Amino acid sequence: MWRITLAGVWAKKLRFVSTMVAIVLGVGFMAGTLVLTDTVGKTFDDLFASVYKGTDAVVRPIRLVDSGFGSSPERLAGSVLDTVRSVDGVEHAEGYLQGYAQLVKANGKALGGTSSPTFGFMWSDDTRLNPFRILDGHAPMADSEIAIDRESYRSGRFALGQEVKVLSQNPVRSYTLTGVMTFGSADAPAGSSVIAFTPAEAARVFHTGGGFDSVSVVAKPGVSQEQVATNLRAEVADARTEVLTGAEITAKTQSDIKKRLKGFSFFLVGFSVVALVVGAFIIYNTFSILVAQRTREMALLRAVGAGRRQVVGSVVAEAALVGAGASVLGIGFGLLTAIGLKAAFAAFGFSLPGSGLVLEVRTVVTALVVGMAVTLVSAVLPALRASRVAPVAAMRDVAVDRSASSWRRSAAGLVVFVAAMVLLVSGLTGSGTAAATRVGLSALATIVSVIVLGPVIARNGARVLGAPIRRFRGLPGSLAQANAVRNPRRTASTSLALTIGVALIGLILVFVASFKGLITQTVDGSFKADFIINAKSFTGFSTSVAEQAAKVDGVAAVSPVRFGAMKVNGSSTYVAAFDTATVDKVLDVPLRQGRITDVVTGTIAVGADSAASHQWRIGDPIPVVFPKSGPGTLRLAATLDDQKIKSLTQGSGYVISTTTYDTGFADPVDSQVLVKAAPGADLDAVSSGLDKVVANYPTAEVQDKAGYKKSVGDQLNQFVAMIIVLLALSVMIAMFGIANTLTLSIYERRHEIGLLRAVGMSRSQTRSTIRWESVIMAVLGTLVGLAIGVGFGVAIMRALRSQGFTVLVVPFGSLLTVTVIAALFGVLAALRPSMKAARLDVLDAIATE
Amino acid sequence: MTTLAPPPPPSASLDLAARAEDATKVYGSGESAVRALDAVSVGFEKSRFTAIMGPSGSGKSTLMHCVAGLDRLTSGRVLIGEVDLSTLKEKELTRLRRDRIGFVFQAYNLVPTLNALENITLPLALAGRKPDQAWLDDIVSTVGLADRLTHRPSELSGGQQQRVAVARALVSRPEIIFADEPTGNLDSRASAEILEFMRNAVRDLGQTIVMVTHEPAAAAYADRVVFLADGRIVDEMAEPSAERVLDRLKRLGD
Repeated sequence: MWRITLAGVWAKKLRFVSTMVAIVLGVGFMAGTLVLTDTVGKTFDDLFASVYKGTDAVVRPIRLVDSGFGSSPERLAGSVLDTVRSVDGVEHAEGYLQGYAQLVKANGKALGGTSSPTFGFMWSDDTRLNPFRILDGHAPMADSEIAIDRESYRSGRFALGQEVKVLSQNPVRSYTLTGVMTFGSADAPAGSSVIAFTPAEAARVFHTGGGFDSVSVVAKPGVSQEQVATNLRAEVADARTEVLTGAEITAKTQSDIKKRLKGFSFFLVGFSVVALVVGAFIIYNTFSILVAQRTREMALLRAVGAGRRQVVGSVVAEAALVGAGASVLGIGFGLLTAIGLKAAFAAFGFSLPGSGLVLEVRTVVTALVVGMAVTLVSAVLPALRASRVAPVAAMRDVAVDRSASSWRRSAAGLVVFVAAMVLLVSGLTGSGTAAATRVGLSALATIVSVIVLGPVIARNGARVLGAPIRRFRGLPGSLAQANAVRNPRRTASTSLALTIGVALIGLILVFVASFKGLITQTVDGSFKADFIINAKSFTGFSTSVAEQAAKVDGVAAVSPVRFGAMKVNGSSTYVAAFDTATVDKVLDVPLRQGRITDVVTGTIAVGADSAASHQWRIGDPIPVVFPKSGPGTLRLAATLDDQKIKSLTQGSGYVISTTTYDTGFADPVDSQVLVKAAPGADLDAVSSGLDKVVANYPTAEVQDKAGYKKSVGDQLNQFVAMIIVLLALSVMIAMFGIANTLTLSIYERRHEIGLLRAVGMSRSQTRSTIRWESVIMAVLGTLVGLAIGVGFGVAIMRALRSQGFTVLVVPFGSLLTVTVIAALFGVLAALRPSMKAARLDVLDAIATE
Repeated sequence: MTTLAPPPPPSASLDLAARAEDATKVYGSGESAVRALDAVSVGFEKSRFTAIMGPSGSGKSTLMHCVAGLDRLTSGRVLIGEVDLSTLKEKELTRLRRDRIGFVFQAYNLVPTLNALENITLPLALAGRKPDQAWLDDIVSTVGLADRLTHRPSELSGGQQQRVAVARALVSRPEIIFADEPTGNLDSRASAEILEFMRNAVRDLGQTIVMVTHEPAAAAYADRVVFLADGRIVDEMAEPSAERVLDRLKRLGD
């Protein structure tokens, strides 16, 4: 008998290990996301603190339109610098310029990804205003010379004196590498790749026309930052220009970055919450099983006089101990997660700056509180339930789980589900934040209803899923099905852990497939162009690409498309700019009223429904704010089909002419150039002609329609891959939960497994039984998840129809793939438990205590 | 110590369904080693009902487990028919148990998720074979379970559960059935029923049964009783009665 006792002890040890792993993973993910965002935040804080260390004041243009991250589209006139230098209290002032520039390695590839910033700036010899220091060689003195940061120098394997090609919005140009810089003591600022140009060359590269992004000022000794800023304000501040002290600009830049990081952090924390919820399921399930196995022991305690409170207390104490221990381990795991996440983002070409890990007190406290709370709540429920069983009833044989046939449970679940559907409909038919909130609440209610209905779903679902297995796998299949059905509550909470993550995957898959479908429809339906010259990065490419493309043999028409952020009728939005004189030849513009050629300088075209809702008629003035030229009005010249124009302009719905764009925006760059070949032209020849044009403009690439569709598809696929990586941990926890449930069930069923082995069940049949039970649970959870995810995906896509998302695609192939992968995960989860079951000592298992 | 009874002739006779030769089983090693079986040689004749008796710790269960291929000997050998179990790999041993041996245990005899009929046909289902319907009907009616076939074990009484177990042991027409205290958990009426079935199976169907028991009343149903003490066979008795068995046991205890 001592071996059975040992097995019991081992199972108890396992209880701690398995529960702890669920908490460690969940808490670790949460701590990891916090550590990562704190680390990135601190890196930027330090970065800007050192950038502005020697700066006492900054003069810069007021941003009229928040155009997002990146260099400022507005510029100061060059004359401002002279004015500033003459202001009282100013010891020294210098203009500053920065913009897109990227190094090309010896192998011809650009250095740095699409996400890590690569930029060039105007070198300054003033060490107070320039945070960079020359480590080796010398600063650029001639316009053909550059210095680069040490990190790029190393990773690009450059050598001093070497000719290096540099990409910008201009044609590629070669420079002599004369210097290697450090940023303070760091090799490079926050993961970026930096090129220093001479002031004259910077002005040429960034097309400034003598202007500056900003002017930095050093005050005379004894003059405070506030004083010099006040003096400057009196001289240069106006409606378009502001003056900030060094302290102000540091704080402002830091808080701007923090705001942007907040969205990123929110996104990550969302995924960690998913992992925690999944973990909670596992903990709940583990404690449920363990408490059920101890029901007799607890009943005995109660029979001899222990109060319910004492019984529950003993479970809670155990949970608290496990929760605390696991949370502490979770914080440690969080540090590893932060490193892993950073590497994962880097693998997706989204590298985050920062070295070293920042562990804030807030992170530690959050992790501990969340870890403990999740464990305690998950453990108390089963303990309370167990304590409610009358002592005598519990001392009889193991209770039968009848939760699947409880009508009260079914009724409650259905009520919640109906409520969820009502919320969904009201959310989808409404608009604004309130509607979105209702959709979110509906998702939550759906999950709750699925949890409540879990045992019912599990019993019937496992029956149906098990039927083919029963048919094709003989007795092990029958037993697997019967085992999955016999304890519906347990099967439900094990499977549902997988449901949550899979629901998100289902949702994303529907979005992405529909979006791909939309792109295909748009390209096939509206593009008359044969080729699209597309920008590889957000920075766009020079307008001279279009000019040169027009000269290629066999090209009939060329029309550029630009995008920009501005305010229309008071709210910030993106607008698309077409060359309205030529766009008709390359694009089927979905007009309702007016002609596209009517959209000339000073006019705008708007979606017809949008115009109607604002009661705008043709000829009416619409107030706008441009980033460069500031406030103005545009007259309504044409109206468009709302849905179609949104799908053509990436959701914008506003169209202006490129001539209007050029007056309102600084540094016009094209995002796309649509090219139509002449009838009968050799398309291959045109394609290679265009390739020759873009060879000098590395941020542009030539695609035919199919290639364009594919490249959009590839980007979307990468997005899906990233989401899946972020959900990987949740799925792992869920898999662990399946393994855990199986292990505990096997311990519970050791007698019958022993009997089966004795009467001739082979080890492989035993493994097969466990494996198929696992597959049933995994596939059940997955199918329920996909049903929820796809259901919500379809509903939301339908609701977004008016936003231009007119295509709905349910990607059955991908959904099937997900299901098959889930089944494989089921097999994987069963690996260890099934081996354990197969190795069970038959004699011990059939021995009578 | 009592004097050793003469061991049964170690014959290779084809009349034996199973036999053990110099079967020795040692648990543990060194000073703490326990000799559960000490060079036991015994044969179990075909179509006979043999009971193995002995005080607890006498090695009767160990002997049964080893002969039934549930456990392995330390030395000596066990043959089922002419197959030496020690030459079999785990997989072959499992198949042998499935196809050639029937089992009835004291408890945990049935799989709770399968109904009575499924439990009866378990060894056949494991082998992927269809039951011989006429034979199955025969067994089911003999054990009197015809109206209980779709019931789950939890819906059956203890006696009915053991009857299902006996039916399962019979269904694959095994060469030998091992019953380990089959009536240990039953009241006397249910016990008598089960033992009657087993005796009928031997008498009418020519089945071979080896039963481990500590109840003289149960042993009285057997054709022959083998007495074990301290891992050795100390005596045997043909055509036993409860009184004679009890008497013999008393002397064993001395």
